[in-house]
Amino acid sequence: MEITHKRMNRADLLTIGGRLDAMHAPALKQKIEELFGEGRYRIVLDMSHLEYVASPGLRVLIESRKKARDWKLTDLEGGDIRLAGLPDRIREVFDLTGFTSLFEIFPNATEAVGSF
Amino acid sequence: MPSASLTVPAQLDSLAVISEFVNSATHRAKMSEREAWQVQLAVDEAATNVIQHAYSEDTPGVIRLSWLVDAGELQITLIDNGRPFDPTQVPAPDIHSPFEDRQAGGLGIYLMHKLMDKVSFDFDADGNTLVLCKRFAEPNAVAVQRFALEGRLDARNTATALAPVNVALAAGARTILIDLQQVTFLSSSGLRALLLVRRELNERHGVLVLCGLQPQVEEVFAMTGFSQVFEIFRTAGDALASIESREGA
Repeated sequence: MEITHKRMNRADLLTIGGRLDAMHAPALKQKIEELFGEGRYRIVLDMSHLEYVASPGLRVLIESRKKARDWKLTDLEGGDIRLAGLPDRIREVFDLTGFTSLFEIFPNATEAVGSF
Repeated sequence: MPSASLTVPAQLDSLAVISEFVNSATHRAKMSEREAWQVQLAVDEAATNVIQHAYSEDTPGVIRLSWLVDAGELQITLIDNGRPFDPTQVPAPDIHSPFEDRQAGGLGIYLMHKLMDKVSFDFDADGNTLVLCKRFAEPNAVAVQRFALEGRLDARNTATALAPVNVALAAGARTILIDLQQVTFLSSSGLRALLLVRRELNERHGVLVLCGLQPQVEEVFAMTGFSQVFEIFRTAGDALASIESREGA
């Protein structure tokens, strides 16, 4: 799995590619935790290059988003992990597991970053 | 009955090898790309479960995998000697609960059930045995579906002319012969429609053959380079003979 990181004013953009399975999910978790450690709780995951996702990857998404949302700037504003650019197969897993309605999902990274 | 087996250490590094192994099975079953992906994900989830839960770090073990293709069904078996664990008894997560209440676990087993037609579990002195079954549309050796198109295949008429072909595709056709003997004109719309049929059949490891091209139609294929893309025969008889000759392969 490849992860690239781009720091924006509004949010941090992580582009993930390849396989998000049991073997590689810990790397994503670690990267997100690093950002949390720097006080960065607004994160966009660009999944347009993701080829495969399995349940350990889904678990990282839920757990990380819970932590991000625990961080509050004000009552109305806080941290979040938003998703962008889901390929068909990834979308299918999201539909099967109810993740589609669980996350805020945007057509592309630009819109997702702009939503913060 | 085609079959194979594989024994790998129960560790995350093995997932890639397991994926290759499953790939050989779905390929042998001539599954569609989507069916193959569903099997891949289900086996990946099953193997991940064994790797993460069946063994402890100080008592590592192995997973024995095997697959069998029979009567339109692919059966994949995983056997481990770790602690007994029956994934068919794990309650499904509530996938409709709101984010705040949503549990992070249990999704792997849930996916396994969703993606496969049958999941069964057994354990005895030899260990845990998990069997995953997936039915697939079997390529039918004899059912060549033959369509004779007529008139002009242009922007106006193509959709209607190809409607019966698309109905057959939706019903799972694998081998299609399109006879263009009575087609007098072919435009880019017609070509595109034929390409879509071809792509759909390729995805399900099917076959599309064309025959009976009139000179003006043949010229369109030649000009666009599609003579090399499609399998084209002079007569329907030649086309059928070619299809039959590869059935045994």
